[in-house]
Amino acid sequence: MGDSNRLTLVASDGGKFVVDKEVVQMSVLLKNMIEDLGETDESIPIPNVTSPVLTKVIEFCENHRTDAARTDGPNVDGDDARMRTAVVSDWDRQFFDVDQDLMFEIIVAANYLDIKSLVDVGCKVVADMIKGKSPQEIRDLFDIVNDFSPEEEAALRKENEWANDR
Amino acid sequence: MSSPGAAQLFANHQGWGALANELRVHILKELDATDLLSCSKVARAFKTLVDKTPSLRYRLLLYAAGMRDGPPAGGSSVSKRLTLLEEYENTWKTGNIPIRQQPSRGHHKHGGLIVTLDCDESQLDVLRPASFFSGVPERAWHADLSNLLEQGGPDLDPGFGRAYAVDLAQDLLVLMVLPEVDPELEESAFPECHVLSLSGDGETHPLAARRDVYNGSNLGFSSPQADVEIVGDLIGCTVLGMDLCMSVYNWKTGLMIWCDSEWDEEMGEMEYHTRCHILDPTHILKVSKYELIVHRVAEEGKLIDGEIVCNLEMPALADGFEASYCASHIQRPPEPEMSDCSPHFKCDPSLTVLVVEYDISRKSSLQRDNTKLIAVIPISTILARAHASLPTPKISWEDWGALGARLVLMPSRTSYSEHINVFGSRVTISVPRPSQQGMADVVVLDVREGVVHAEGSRSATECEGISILVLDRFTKEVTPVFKNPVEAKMPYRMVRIPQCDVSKSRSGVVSLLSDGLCA
Repeated sequence: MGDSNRLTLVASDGGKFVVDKEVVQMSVLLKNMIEDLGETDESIPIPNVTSPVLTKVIEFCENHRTDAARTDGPNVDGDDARMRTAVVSDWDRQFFDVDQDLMFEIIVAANYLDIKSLVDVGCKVVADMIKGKSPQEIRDLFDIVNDFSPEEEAALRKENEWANDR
Repeated sequence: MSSPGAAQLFANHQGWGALANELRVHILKELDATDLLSCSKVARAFKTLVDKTPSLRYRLLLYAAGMRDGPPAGGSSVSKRLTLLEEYENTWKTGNIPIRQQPSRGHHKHGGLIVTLDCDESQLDVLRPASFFSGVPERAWHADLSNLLEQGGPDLDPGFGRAYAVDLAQDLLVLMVLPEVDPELEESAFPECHVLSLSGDGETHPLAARRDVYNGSNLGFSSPQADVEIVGDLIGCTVLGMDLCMSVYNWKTGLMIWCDSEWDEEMGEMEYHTRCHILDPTHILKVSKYELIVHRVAEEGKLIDGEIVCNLEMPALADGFEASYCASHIQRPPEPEMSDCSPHFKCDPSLTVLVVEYDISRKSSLQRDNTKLIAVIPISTILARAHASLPTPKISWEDWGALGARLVLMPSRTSYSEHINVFGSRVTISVPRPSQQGMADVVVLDVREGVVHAEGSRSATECEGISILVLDRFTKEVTPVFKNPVEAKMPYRMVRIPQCDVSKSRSGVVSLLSDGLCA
C-alpha cells in the first residue's frame, strides 16, 4: 500500500475497499479505531457489513466528505421540530433508491459504524415512506404482522374514534 | 442475500425487523402526530415503542390536547411536560376541569385575561390568572389612563360602552370607548379606539401610526356596543350605533383596509345581523345573517371593498322558521410566544374556532323563544374554502358543513340567558340558574381534529335543567328546525359542570383559561 492517506476496509464477505482516510473518518467508530492503531498498513475488518452495503456506505461518505463538519450539531429534544423540517436532498434520495432490505442494512451499518449524517438521512427516508399511510399500508410496506388481538383492536378503535381513519 | 456475518447482527431479521429500537425511535421522531398515531396501530411493538418513548408520547398527546410544545428555553424536561400534559388530558377524561375563582370582579374576560377598568381612578387593570398545568404564572398589568385623558382622550364615564382587545405578544391593548349622547341635545358622538402599550402605562403603542385608529360612524343612540379583535397588524371593529359599521385597520400604518356597513332598513327596529372577524392578514369574514361571507383584501395598503371569495351557507331551515344572528366570537390563543414566560405547552392558535349564535324562531310566533343554535366552525375550515378555487362562491351546508363544523342546539327553551366564552378551539356555554343566585350550569366543548370523540354525542344531553343537543345527524323527528337532516362530523369532546359557583363572577360568566376555567 504505502499511501498513508488511504487504508483498506474488509467487508464481512472478504470484499476489499481502498478508501481515503478522510472519508473513513466520517465513521466515529473507525476514526477511533484508526487513532488507536496509529500508523499502520493493516487492513481494517468490518465483520458486520457486507460488500454491497459497504459499497453504498463508502459512496455516501465520499459524496458527503466535504460537509462532514457541519453535521455535528447539538441534538437535544427541543431541536426536534427543526430537525424534522430539514429535507432530504435529491442526491440522498437517489442514493436510497434501492431495494428495501439494502436500505435497512445501510441504516443498520451506518448506526454500527456511527455515521450520524447517514443514519439521519436514512431515518428520514424511511419516515417519508411511512407518511400519509394507514396502519395496514404500513404493515404491507414493511411486511409486519398485525399481532393485536381483536379486543385490543376494538379498544384502539374506540380510543381513536375521532381520528380520520385512513 | 446476506452473508452469515450479517445474519448474526440482523438476528435473522430483514427490513424493519433488522432495526434496533433506537433506530426505530429515530425514524418515528421524524413523524408528526397523525402518522405516529397510524404507526401505533400497526402492531404491538409499534404501540409499545410510541407509548414508552416520552418524546413520542408527548407529541401524540400534544395533538390530542390541541396544544403546541412550549419554547425549549423553558428548560423543563420532556418527561415533566408529558406528566403535566397527561394531567391536563385527564381533566377532560374525568370531567373535572379545574376552575379558578376569579380574584377580582372583572368586567371583561377573554383569551384567559380579565380586564377591569376603574373609572374613578382612570386605571385599567389586566390580570392573567395562573394556569393549572402549563406553567404560566399569574401576572397583572396596570395602565394609568389619566395621561390619555389629558391628551384629549376618551371620557371614561362609567356609563359608556367599552370594548377591549389584548395581544400580550405584541404588548398591545386596544381600548374602544363608546360615548353615550343625550338624545335631547342632538349631538353627535363617535367611538374612540385607542392603541395602547400594555406595559407602557397607558401610553400609545410605540409602533402605532396614530393614537386613535378609528374614524367610524355616529353612535347617536343609547347603549352602543362594539366588538374588537386583533390579528397581527390588523384590528377589526364592529360598532353598533345608529347603524352598524365594520372596519379593519392596519394599526401600524394607520390605514383602513376594509369596511362595510349595515343600515337599519326598517327604521327604528335597530336590529342588525352582521359582524366582521379577521381570519388571516388577507381574509376577512363577514357573518351576515345566516351566511358566512369571506372577503379577500389587498395585502398592503388601500381601502378596497374586498372581493367575495366564498359564501358558506348554514343548514337550510324548515318552512316557517327563521334564524336571527345574535353574536359571534373568535378568540385566538397568544402566538407565537408568550412575551414574559415560557409555558411548557400552549393552545395551538391554528385550531381556533369561530362561534356564531343564532336564535331560531317561528315566523308566525311573536316570541323568540324556540331554539338557540350555536355553530362552532374552525377558522381553518373557512380558510380552506377561501383558498380553494371554486366555480361559484355560494356553498351549501351539505358541501362544507358536515366535516368542518359542529352544531349545538339548545332546543325548546323559554328563557335562557346563556353566556358564551371562546378560547382557541374551546367553547363554554354557561346558563345562570334562575332559582339559585350565583350558580350556573356550564358546558365546555372542544371542537377540532385530534380530540377523543365525546360519548353519547348522538342524543340530547341534559345538564341539570338545560338540554343541549350536539348534532351529529338527526332527523326532523328530533327537532323540526331544519329542512333536511343535518350532519356535523367535526370531532369534539364535552364536559358538563352542573351547578358551577359563579358568584364571584360578574354576570355569571365562566371564562376559559389556557388549560382550565375561571369563574
